[in-house]
Amino acid sequence: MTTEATIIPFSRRADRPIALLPERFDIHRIPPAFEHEPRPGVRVAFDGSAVKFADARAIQWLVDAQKLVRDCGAELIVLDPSDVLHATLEMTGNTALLEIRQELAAA
Amino acid sequence: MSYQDFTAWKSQPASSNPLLSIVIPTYNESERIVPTLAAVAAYVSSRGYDFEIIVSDDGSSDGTPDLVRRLGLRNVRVLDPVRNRGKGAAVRDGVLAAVGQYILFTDADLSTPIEHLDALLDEARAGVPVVIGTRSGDESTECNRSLLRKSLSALLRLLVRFCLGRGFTDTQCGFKLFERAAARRLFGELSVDGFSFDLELLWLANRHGLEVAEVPVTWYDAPGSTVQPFRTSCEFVRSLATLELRRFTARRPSGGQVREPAGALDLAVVTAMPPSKTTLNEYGFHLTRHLRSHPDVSSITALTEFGEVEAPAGVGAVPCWQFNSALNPIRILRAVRAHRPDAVIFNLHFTAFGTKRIAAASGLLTPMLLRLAGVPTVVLLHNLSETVDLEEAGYGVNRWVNALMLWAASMLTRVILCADKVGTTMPAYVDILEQKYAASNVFLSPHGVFDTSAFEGCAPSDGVRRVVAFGKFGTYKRLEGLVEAHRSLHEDPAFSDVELVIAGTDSPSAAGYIASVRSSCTDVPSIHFTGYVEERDVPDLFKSASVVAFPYTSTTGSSGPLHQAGTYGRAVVVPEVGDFIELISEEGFVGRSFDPEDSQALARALRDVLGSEELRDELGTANHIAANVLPLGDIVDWHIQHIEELVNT
Repeated sequence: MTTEATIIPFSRRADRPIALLPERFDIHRIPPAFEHEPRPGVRVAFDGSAVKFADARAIQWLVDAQKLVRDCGAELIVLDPSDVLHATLEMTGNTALLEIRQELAAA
Repeated sequence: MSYQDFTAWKSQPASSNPLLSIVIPTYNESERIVPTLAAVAAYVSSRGYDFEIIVSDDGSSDGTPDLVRRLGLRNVRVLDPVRNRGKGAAVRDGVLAAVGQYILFTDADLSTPIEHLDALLDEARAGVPVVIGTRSGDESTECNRSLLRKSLSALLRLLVRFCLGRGFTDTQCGFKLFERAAARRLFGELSVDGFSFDLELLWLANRHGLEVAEVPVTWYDAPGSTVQPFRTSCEFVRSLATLELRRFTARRPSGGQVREPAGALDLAVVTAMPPSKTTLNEYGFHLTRHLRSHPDVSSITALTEFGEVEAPAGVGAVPCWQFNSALNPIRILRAVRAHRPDAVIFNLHFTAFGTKRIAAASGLLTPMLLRLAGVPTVVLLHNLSETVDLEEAGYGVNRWVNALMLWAASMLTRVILCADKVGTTMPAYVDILEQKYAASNVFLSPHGVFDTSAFEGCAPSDGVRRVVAFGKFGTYKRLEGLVEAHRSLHEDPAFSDVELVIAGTDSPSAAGYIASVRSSCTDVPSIHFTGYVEERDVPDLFKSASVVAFPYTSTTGSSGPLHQAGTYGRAVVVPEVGDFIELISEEGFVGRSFDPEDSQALARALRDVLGSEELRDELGTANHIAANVLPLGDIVDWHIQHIEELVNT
């Protein structure tokens, strides 16, 4: 079981960096993902397919990350969420993490 | 299977006999419960299982039950008790409410990933009734666990192996699966409400011969855990000790136990019994006698000191403990195990088991140990350290040691209060226990008179004016003042005929006292020392008295001799010390009082009573009435009601 996230720094793929969430997503085991400030227009995606459990603090971390990225004019979403992550985001009222805003999608 | 299975499960009811019930105990889990429910529901839905989830709350104050209800999940039930009782109680409620063919309980923080369910379910479907997750197998993993918690766990595992006699590698993992019938049986008997309930479950499984399989699991030490390692470990060790005691006494567990009906109580009374040198032996004799004649009691076993015992007819005496021995708890537990009474009554004061501190203290642990072993336990406590003057009672050393002794005594009082019920002889004692110790299991148990007696007058039949003092002397019951008062009386020709009878023996902690008094008063006329008075001779002793004297400098509770004096209609002279004054005012006794420091005051009091037949009759008659209001037979009836309440709960 993977216990550490593979973090791809924003600087490596400027247009589409991806961070793979660990199977059992626990923010306390993930190093800071944002080594560089996201620039306007950058789309940040987390691959959520392997997530088997995301606790409340982990969800909050994702929410905070999304806000941080948006404040910089960029976008953050969770791609391909596992059933567990999907259910968790839905039941905690955080479905916005699954959706690209319409205006960005159009751009 | 896909996410659609989860969305279907959310809205469509499970069958009435689902494959699985998942019980999640919660206590203030509003931060964590929703992700946990999502993870559990999404995963188990994806497996295609027909299942329900029961969130069994433990009196959360953060709105956890309401939060879960608001999710509107069709197959999630919420159990919402009115108060916090403990994780064990919450899991028990959830499991007993579950309808699944298999029942899993898992922690609300999902420390063990729900994906391990399949491995446990495979074992259960293969016919193993109890399958438990273990964090210590070769294939298990522990993540993020602190060294402290790992060390404590290792230590506790070792204790479990040692005490349960079976090598469960992990009793406390909050991930256990049960076949439904086994779950109902085990949880129906579960009595531990706290974190250590898992231990009792496995103990019960062992007792019922149920196979238990262990499955290695991964375990994550979730941040924000509500478990406090040291506190939980202490509770664990205490529970382990309780189970050990239960095994030792081989009693059935209390939960769900069917008790003997009222009318057939087999009781044991731990007490000194005549001719013991220790105090309370007369009370023990008459207490057991009255208990034996109670219609709801079928047998009485007196668990007494080793040695010759003068027990009432029909009372089985089992000498099993030794004064001043620290091993008495073990000896008494063994005796209780052998006789298996429905309840045990302790006839106690603070030095009932010895005057040596270790022995006295260890003996006072016995009621608590028996209760932990599942035996209903009632203590009749005759004194309290708060009302004893250590110096006067002969136990004083110096200021610091006395303070330490009083602190230790207060700790022992707390231990004694661990009995199911504690009766004390004085209303003031009840107040102290309720106010200082916040005890809620205390009741008033007046001393009472051993027997009611027809009024036969207040004077001895031989016409001799006689002063009688009866008891165990040498500590706070001092004879020097009484001898001086008697000497003083004899200097007055009007009282030169008066006899003084000193009946009884040395206090256990004052060996040789009476002999020394006797040798110092050879010049004083008309003093008789009777030595030990057999129980059958006690009535004649009191009937021979014109007045009964209580030459006490202090008291440690109610007074048997005062009640006996009342039984036989005798006048009394009593010291102006706290408990006596209270006892007299509470129970209606009357007497001439004297300053215990002043032998001439005692002489004046004796002169008043002996010099006035009218006063003797007045005091004796009033005391006879007071004594007969509260016969011990009636008080025993109260005790039986308390015991039946305990036994039938």
